[in-house]
Amino acid sequence: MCDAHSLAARALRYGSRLEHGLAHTEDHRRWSRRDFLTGLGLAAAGGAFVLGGRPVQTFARSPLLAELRRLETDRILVLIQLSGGNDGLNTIIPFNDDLYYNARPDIAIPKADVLPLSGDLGMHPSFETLVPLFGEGQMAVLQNVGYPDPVLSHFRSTDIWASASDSDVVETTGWAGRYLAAAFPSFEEAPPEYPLAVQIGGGSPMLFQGPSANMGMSLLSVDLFDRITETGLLYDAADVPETTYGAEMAFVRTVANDSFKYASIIQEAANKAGNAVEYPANNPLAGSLAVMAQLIKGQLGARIYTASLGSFDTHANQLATQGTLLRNLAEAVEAFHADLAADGLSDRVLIMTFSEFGRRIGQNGSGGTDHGTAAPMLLFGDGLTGGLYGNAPDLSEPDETGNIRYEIDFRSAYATVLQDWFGMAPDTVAEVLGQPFETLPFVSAPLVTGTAPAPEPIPQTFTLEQNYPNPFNPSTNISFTLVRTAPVRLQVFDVQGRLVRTLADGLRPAGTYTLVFDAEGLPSGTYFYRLETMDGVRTHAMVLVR
Amino acid sequence: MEPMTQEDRRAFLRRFLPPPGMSAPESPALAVAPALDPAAPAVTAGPLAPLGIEAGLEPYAAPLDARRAAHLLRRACFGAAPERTADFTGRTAEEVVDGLVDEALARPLPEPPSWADTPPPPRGSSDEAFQDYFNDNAEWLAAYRAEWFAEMRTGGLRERMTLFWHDHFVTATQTYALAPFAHRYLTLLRTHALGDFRQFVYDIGIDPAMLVYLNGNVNAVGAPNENYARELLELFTMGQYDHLGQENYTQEDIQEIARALTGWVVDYFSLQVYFLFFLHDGAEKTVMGRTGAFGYDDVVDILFEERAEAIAHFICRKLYEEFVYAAPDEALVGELAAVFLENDFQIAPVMRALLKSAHFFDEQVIGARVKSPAELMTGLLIESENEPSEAIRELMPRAGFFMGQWVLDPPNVAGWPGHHDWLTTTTLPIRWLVQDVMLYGDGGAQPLDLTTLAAEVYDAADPYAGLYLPTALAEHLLPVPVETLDIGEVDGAFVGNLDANPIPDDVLDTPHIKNLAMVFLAGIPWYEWTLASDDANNRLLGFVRYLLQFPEFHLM
Repeated sequence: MCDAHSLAARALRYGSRLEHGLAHTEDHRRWSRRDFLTGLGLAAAGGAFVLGGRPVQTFARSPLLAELRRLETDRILVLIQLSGGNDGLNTIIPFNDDLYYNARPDIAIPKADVLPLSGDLGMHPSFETLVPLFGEGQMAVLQNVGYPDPVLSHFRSTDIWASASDSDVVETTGWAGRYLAAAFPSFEEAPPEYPLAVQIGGGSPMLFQGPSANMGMSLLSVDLFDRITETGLLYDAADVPETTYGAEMAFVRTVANDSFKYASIIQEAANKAGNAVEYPANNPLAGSLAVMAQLIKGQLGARIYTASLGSFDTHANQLATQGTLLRNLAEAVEAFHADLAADGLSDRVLIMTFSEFGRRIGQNGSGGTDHGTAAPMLLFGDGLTGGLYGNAPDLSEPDETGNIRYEIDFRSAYATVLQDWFGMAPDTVAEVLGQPFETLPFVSAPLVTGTAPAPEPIPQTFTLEQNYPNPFNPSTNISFTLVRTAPVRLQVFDVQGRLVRTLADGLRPAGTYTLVFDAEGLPSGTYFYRLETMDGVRTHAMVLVR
Repeated sequence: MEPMTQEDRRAFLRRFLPPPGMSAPESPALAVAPALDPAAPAVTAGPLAPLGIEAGLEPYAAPLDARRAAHLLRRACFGAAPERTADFTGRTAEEVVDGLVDEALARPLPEPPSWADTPPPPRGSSDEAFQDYFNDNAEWLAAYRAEWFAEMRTGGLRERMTLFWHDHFVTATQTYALAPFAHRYLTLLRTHALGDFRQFVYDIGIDPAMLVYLNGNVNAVGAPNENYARELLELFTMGQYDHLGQENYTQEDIQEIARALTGWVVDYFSLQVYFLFFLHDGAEKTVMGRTGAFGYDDVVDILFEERAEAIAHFICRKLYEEFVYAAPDEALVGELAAVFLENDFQIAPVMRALLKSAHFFDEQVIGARVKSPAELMTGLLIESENEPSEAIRELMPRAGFFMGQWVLDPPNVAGWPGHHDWLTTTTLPIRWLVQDVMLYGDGGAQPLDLTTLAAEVYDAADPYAGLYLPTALAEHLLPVPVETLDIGEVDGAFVGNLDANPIPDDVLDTPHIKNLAMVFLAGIPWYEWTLASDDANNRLLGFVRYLLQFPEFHLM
């Protein structure tokens, strides 16, 4: 009997030895790999796209330091997508070129109406409000921008511009997403407390897509922005059907509202600042730019904003349609620039327009133009060396479809923005864009590579060690090190994300700390411990085995 | 849109509060937590009200519409594959449910893994030899979890039931450790998934994983351990109280049953379970009023003879909560229990009756359940008609862990609380991330191919597909009526040559069709959309990502 008892007991002992060894090795493997989901912090990368969100509650950080950090990342890019394919020839007009007037007997802009920029080139009369900007060197025009082997499909060419791919390559990530992923390497582990990129209104869904996460968020309408700034809510949890599934919809919407931590950041930024100028009414782009100005002035911290205006797909009745749209563009940009200038911010914001393609040199039979290729890109901002870049379009030697041949690759404009505006190292720029491209001298004060303020400080100011022993029963040691005095919070959560215990909360001097977590009374299973500091959050898992 | 007022909020919260005089049951995890995470949503899951609908267990008579066909497939098979949804649409519930159940019964077991019978090194082996085995064992378990997810995608109702039983007859690798035991346990669940519940109970109690998990293997004469006996009654068969509120058993019953269950041991070194007569208590016991020198088989027989009604109600209630709604409708549970009893505890007839019922297909039920992480991930693959890449296969178990569902390791013997507990301010952003990573691929994985899905849900040859496909995708991927979504007005306008290509009035006059189309087209003329273009998938990825971020995607 006794023998039998000890046999069973031994089997059990071996069993527990086996299971402990097992649990340890599997656990170690899982947590030592820095890949997908290294910790709860990474989940914040869900702070993307149309909703986005952060699971980590905003830590009681020093507001002053947070503000200073945001100010360091001081250069902002605003992309304005002119969807549908803007006709470049009627935007920046070669008013001395007979070929232009011959090709467009009905829709050319009369020389007398053109707003001259040089002896040969001038702007569409709708750009009246932009004349002073050009005069002050706050506007640049890149001419004949395109890419080799152009594609005339809206969908495809939009994707090419968003991805910066060659025209025969289908790419799923966007150039802005890749830039942000390269500039914020710790995005997934220690995501910033604010969205890195914001899209207002519709637009290319691909632009912010990075290699492993979407790096931006989209507000599909100004209405939604208004709702967030007024209520902090993304979804209306009250307007649901009077059914059981309706009550469940209210539940999931409420959780989504509570999870979307950017909402409060946006709300805070928007409420901090107003618009200093009156934006033109009945101008959809102006509404988007007014929102952007508020967020920029409110120091949201995002580095890239996009908005779109359309449709420029003027197959018919081009004169009226394009005239209105260009007026929308010019008046919105002028107001936006003035609004930013009023707060001294217009030298920090670079505005760049792009469109999937220009249009055919010759008019078609319905008072419009068909899909084309190269076209000008327009840039605005006080950080520019203004003027005309590149040659006037050569209408004497069109390509086989009757389109303008490109001279400046659009990716040269992107490369210039990344390298000179954002201060990214040339080899990183080449990596982001897939290949090296020449830069253009349109940034008046290029950031010398390496002197750019670190876009996101990732100081190794703290470490968090794996607990020991692990698995454990009933208590284990958790160590962390602070390089400098800082407020810290060390908490233990269960798998459902419920707080189990707070082990430390408050200011601690530099040094190494070992705290004991006693799990007496807790059920077996995996727990997380999370260390929050001003510089980020680290999370590890540990296993309690009874 | 009016913001929610305090009053609205209170009214809303009241829906989730227990009725007067009833207090919320304490979840074990909450009971020990010193404080609730302040980040947790304000709305916590108290007892929900039952549906309160007229429809009962009588079969749903009308031919299934697409929404109900998808509902059945989501609840019973992890997700609504578009082709299968189309196939079920227009047929009767009787017919398609019988098909699903028959298919599950006939499904062969997966090939056993190569290590299924590989025991640890013999006693007295070196630490290195044990460590090598542990390392292999860890690999096996990780691979086995991934295998299970892969099986869920194709395994239909059989695997759905298997997951249910895992959540019912809980064991955890954290306790029993060995991958070969995990395989034996899961195989047992699969074998009985729709089989004979009495035999199931008999077999699970002497399964090595269960013997270790609930200490059956150290329950010996002279040193009884009540752990398994208690859970056998309280969690696995009948619960503490029956459907009439009567106590099902006493503490004495548990002690006596524990004695009857003595003698079973697990030998890790041979991977075998042995009954050792000298560890068994052969003396008389009195269980539920019956006296004898009972052993293991006798106990199971006594439970099913003495408490048949209670067991039938208990299990049917749990099936109802899993497949219909979190708050049980006791009248319907009673009808189901009658079916269970009539069929002598065969599970398949109960599932046939439940899934065919007018109750199951009632409007109130569709979309009223929060998806589990397994349903979320497996469902996305099924509903988008994708096989998982290697990276996604590996990802799913780990991602499940972070979303609160580590398969083969439920949090405790009561299983996952489920429903509202799945969704917190911690797990929802993780879900957003996981969806994204699955859609777009991660670390070299390929993005999902959504073109098959698009072709299944809307006629690709229709020149108006650019306008109607977006709504068709939303109807397919979201369980609630599309017009109830909070889509909002999307800024912008339809673009292109609209004189030559006018937009149909129903698009312009139907806000959700119009707004979804505008999000989908994102400034591209509607008539340029074609599924045939080589970058169609990019456009679909962006739009499906948008759809998946609706909170309602987490409902089913």
